[in-house]
Amino acid sequence: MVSNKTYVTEGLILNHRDFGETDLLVTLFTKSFGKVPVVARRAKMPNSKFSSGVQLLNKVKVSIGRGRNLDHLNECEIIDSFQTIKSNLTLLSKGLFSSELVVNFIQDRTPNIQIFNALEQNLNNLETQKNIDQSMIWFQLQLINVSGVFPEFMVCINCNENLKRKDHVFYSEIGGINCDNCINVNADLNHGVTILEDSLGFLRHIQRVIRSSKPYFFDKYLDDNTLNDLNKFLRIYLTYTAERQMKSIKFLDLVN
Amino acid sequence: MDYSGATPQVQRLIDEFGRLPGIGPKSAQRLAYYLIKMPEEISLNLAESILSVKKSIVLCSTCFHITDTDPCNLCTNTYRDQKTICVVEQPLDLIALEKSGSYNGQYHVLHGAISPINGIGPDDLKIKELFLRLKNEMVDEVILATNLHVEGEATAMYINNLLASTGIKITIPARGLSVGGDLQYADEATLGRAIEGRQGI
Repeated sequence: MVSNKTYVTEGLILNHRDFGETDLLVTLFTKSFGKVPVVARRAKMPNSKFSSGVQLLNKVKVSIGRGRNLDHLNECEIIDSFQTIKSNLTLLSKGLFSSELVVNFIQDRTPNIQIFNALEQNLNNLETQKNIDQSMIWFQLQLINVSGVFPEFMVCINCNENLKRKDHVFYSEIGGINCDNCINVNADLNHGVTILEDSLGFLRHIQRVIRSSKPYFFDKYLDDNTLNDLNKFLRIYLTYTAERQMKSIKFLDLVN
Repeated sequence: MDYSGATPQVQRLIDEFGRLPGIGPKSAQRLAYYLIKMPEEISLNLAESILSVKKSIVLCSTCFHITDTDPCNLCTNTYRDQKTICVVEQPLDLIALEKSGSYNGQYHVLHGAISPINGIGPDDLKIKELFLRLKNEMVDEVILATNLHVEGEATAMYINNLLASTGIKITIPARGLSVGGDLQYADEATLGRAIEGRQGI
């Protein structure tokens, strides 16, 4: 039963922090209402009905009461607690990094089913330990796309000429690459990162997929060199577009 | 006086009370006016006790519990089991365990838990100090009594991974149903843990 005062939805627990003595302020990424901050009353008490439900990365079904300032949790039922992720530091670091990206890139109370599904799929892949590195990269690329900042990899950002098939320097400030003729146009840029030819080939493929707007099942095999290269590019570009360093990166580097 | 009707001095006292955990603006106001009404002697005692606590309290250099003597009474007590160390997140966790009366070993307070999403890593905790202790002391068992949330369990996992090669016995407190709780109201995660950790009677 849903009234104006309450709403029921599925969500993923992205973050939580202390709120008063025994309450938690939970950042919940819901399917129908986007990212919402919700107060879970007495959630820090051992006998609380919420304490296990509001653990990070849980997929939950929740009933939320609308409040004057902040909404509050009425009920919380665990759908999936992703126990494999939580019992492995490497998987956990990747899961938490994914959730921090969503916290930073997605606006509050803006439904975004595409990113909800992408995050859930990524967590499922981590849980089943299926193509973990590919899954992380595909998730980050989807996030960049939905945020409206997917870069240009096909043509020169300055003269619009097709780029040659070779390694190129990508600049976060201009969201693309300058061809050899325009290489001195943006000489003052300093967020450059070299992307290898194979990685650029993959990124062009993804750009075509995104532009076609057709449903796409990501199953591309990426070798270790390409994975490292793409991770390096994504880290620099995500930090630049988010205008901050992700806090969980330090731990991600420590355990991987 | 401003619009709140309080003098600047009173307002400052209200603001200072308002900084304390669990104290909202209304409670802060009530505490401030209660103090104003109290005899001066009681207010002075309160102020002096706060100042003396702040001046005399240090962290124990062995277990990092809050103490007024270094090393603390728990570390110097020879009647306690010196070969078992219980690792906790906060001094309040240590106090809760002491109150239970069921543990008589040594402690080590980490002063937090690994929380990647808040930028808190192992270097921000007293983990290095724990390893130094384990190197210098003859320890048979380490109990990882971190809190049962993702951050607490990640901390326990991290320490466990590092300790795996030392040969020291590593244990965690039992997980499961709380005393006095009805089975039907327990959530699936708690029940799952309780069944996994079942024991003979």
